[in-house]
Amino acid sequence: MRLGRVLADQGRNDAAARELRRALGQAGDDVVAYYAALFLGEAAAALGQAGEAREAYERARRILPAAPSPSLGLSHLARARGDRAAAHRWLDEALALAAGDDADDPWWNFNFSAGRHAQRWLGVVRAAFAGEPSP
Amino acid sequence: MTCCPRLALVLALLAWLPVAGAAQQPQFTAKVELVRVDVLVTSGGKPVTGLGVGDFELLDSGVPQTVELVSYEQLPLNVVLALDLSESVAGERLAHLGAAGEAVLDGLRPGDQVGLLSFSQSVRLGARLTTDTAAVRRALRDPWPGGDTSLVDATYAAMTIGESDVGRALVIVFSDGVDTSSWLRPQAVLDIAKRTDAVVYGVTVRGAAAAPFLHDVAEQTGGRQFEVESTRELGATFSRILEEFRQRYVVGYTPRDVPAGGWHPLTVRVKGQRATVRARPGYLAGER
Repeated sequence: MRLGRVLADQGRNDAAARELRRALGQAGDDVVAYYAALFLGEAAAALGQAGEAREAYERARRILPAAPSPSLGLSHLARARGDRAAAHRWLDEALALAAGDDADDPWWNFNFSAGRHAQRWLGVVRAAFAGEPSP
Repeated sequence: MTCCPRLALVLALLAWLPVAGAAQQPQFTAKVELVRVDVLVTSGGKPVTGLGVGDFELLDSGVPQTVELVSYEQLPLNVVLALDLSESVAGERLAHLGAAGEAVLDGLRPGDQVGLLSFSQSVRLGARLTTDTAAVRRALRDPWPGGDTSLVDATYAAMTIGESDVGRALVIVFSDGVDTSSWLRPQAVLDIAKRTDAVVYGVTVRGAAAAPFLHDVAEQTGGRQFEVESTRELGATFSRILEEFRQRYVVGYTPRDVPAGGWHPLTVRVKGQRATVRARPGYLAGER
């Protein structure tokens, strides 16, 4: 998934989309699946594959319904094809999601999200040293 | 043709719009696709007023077009404020920004609408497009600073809101830093800027990290970027932007002998005058 994102950052969207499709099929948890679907949405859009982009963004939206980025991506897709009404509807949804006190989007933490399991891993190490069962 | 500066919604307005310099009001059929271009004409730094349809020369893709409509200070405005409330904007800066927003509200006229967005890592809607300035004033007094900076997402949202209703869309974006958390890439939003009718003005603070995106989106939409020395100048700068935008002409024409889709470079000149003309460099037509 991270390789896919790096490839997309380099503008290699074809290769990025391939990696991200694979990552999406293998994703072990919701956050990784969310990232893969979100990034695939963007890469497919950059390739002009609007159908796949829409499906990927909608999949990301289903995985984490409280995150606004997929709705923003769908708004942008609609505006790029000239559908202002749909662009506005999707933007409304993104703004509504961002308005909540509990608004959250893993995208905002992507650059340091690799450490999100650090506490659990530390617990496993501590338990091993203490000769206790892994938590 | 699916595109942006084609104003299906504005056709209704054009039906009653007074036309500067034209003897008769032009008649449009429902099928006409008019392209609208916001144009600022200055001479010696001051706006040139009183121009009519015969004063403008307009080329679309290098092909001379017949200007059918010129209006000045006639269409109501949709002003959208997109204000950076990231961590770096706090205390006095925040107070100056709120006062600048209120200066814009004070400069609105009956019929003008205003919307408010604030942004940090997320983009928040303070107010939809409305003529109820009291509601927007309340929203301005309830800021929520903190977090990263989603400048690109906020600019996209502001353009989309600005063009969501009939009227001329003016987007004023203030940011004191670089984008750190937007989902949309700058190029993706610049692509939309080529399709929108909204005119974006960017305001930044001198010495803060430069944000080339804001300069680029302003250029692309025919707007401008202002750099202030201190946030104390924000009120005067926002008022100046509103005043300048009112002094722009709306020039309309029906494209002839040009391709339906793709990038349409525009050239706008004023005949027989050594005037400075500021307008969008072109527009993108057709689906992506």
